Amino acid sequence: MKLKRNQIDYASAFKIYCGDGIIKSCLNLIYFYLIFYLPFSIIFSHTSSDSTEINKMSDTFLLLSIQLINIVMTGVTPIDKKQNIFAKFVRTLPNSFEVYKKSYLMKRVLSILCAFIMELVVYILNILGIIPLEIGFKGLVIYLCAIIAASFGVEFTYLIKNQIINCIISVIWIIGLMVTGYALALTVESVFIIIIFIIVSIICFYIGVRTNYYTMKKEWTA
Amino acid sequence: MLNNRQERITDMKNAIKLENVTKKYKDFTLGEINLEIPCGFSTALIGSNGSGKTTLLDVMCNICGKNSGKITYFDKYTDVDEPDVRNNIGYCAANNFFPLDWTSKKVAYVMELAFSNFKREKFISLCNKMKIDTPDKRKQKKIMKMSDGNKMRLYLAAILARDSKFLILDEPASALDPLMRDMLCDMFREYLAEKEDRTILFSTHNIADMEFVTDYAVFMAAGKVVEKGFVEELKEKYRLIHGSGETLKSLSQYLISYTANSTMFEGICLTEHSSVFQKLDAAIEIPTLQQLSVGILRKAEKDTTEEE
Repeated sequence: MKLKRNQIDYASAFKIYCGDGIIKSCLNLIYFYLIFYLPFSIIFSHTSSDSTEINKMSDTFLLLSIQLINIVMTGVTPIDKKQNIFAKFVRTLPNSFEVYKKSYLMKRVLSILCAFIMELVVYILNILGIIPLEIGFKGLVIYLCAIIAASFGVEFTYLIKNQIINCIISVIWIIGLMVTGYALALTVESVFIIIIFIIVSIICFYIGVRTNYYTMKKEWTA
Repeated sequence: MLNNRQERITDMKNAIKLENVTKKYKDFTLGEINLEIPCGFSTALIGSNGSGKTTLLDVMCNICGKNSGKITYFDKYTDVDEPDVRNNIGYCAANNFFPLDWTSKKVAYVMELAFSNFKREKFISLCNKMKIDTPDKRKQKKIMKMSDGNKMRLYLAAILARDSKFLILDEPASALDPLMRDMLCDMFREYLAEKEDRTILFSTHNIADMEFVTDYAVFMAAGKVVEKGFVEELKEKYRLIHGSGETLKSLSQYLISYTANSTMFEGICLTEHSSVFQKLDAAIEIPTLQQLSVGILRKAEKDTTEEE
C-alpha cells in the first residue's frame, strides 16, 4: 500500500510505540513465555500424570499461562493511559493519533499471533510426548478462541476508571473465561461448533478493539 | 536594538496566536487567554507555581485539549495535528518526557522515525556538547538512571536536533547547573540566529539566568496573562524605586507593588509616575527582568487575593 505524505506505516508506528521492532517484540514475549512459564507447566504436567483431575489442572495451568502472558502484552500499556509520560510524547508527534491507532491495532493482532505461536509450541511438545495434554488440537483451537475473545472483555475493562472495580471485573472475566474455555475444550467435538466459536471470537475481538479505538479517539480529540 | 526589532515586527508573523482560550479543571481554570507569541524571538513565560504556565504550554501543543477559544499556528493553521505544524513544533515537557527505559540510542531511533526533520549528526554533536551518551556509544545508560540535569540535556538535544521553527519548552533551565544554563542560552541564541523565522517559548523560574536570552516576556498569575511585552519596552514602561519609609507613606499609591521594612522600601511604578519619587530623593533605576517579574507577580497575587 502506498502511503500518503507524512503518513506512518504500521511497523514504524509499532516501533515508536514499543521502542522495538515487531519481530524483536514478539520474540521477547515468546522467550519470556518459554523461560518463565513453560518449564513450570512441563514439571507440573509430569508430576501429576496419575490423576486425571490433576492432569486437567495442569492443562489449565498451561493454558492459563498463555492467557496471562497475552493479558500482560495487551494489558496496561504506556499509550493507553493518556496522562502518562509516553502519551505526552506521542501527542507531540505528527499524525499522533495515527501512531496510536496503528500501533494499537498492531499490538492487538500481534498478541493473538504470539498466543497462537505459544499454543503451537505446546502442541508440538504434546506430539513429542513432553507434555501430556487432556485436550487435543481441537481443544487448543477452542482455547485460542477464548484468548481472542478475552480481549473483548479486557477492552471494556479499560473503560472503567476505578482501578479496584477494574481489577475485580478483569479477574472474574479471565477466570470465568478460562474455566468455560477449558470445559468446552474438553467436551466439544463438532467442527461446526468450533467454526462458530472462531467466528464469534473474531467478532468479539473486533467489537472490543473498535470500542477502545473510539473511546481513545474521543479522549484524544477532547 | 529595539528599532531593529521593531523593523522585524512590522513584517513579523506570530508563531502562535491564542484567542479567548480557556481550559477548565476541577480546581483550576486557565484563561481566557488572548496572547500572541511573536515570531523570530525568544519568549519567556513567567509566573509563580500553579499560575498555569504548564497548562498553557500543554494546551498550545494540544497535549490537553482546550475548552474554548481558537489557536492559530504560524498565522496559517488552526489544527495543531497538521503534519506541517507538528513537524515545526519542538515540544519538551518539564518532567520525564521519554519513557524511562529508553536510552540515547532509542531516542535517536524513534525521533528519526517520527520526525522527518530530525538530524542524527546534529543530535550526536549536541550530545557531545552536552556531555551525555551519544546514540552510537556501546554501553547506553537508561533515562531512569540519569540525573535530572542529564535527562533534560537529552530532551534538549533531541528537540534541538530537529529543524523545527518553534520550540516550546517547559522549564528547560530548572534542572540544569549554572554552566549548562549558560550553554543553553548560547544554544537558544544560535538556534534563533540560524533562521529568521525561528521562535522559542519557554517557561522559567530562573529569570536572572535566562534574562540574557529573553526578548519577549509573558507574565501569568492565577491562570491569566497579567502583563506581556518586549523586555526592553517593559523596562521603559516600569521603574524600580528605592526609598525611605516616609516616602512610602506619602506616595505608596503610585507604586504597583513593593516590599518594605521599618526604614526602607523597594518597589516598581510606572515610568510616568517616577518623577513624583524623584522629588523626594528616592533612587530610581531601570529594573532587571527579575525585579520586574517580582513586582508584576506580587501585584497580580495581591489582586487575586483581594478578588477572593
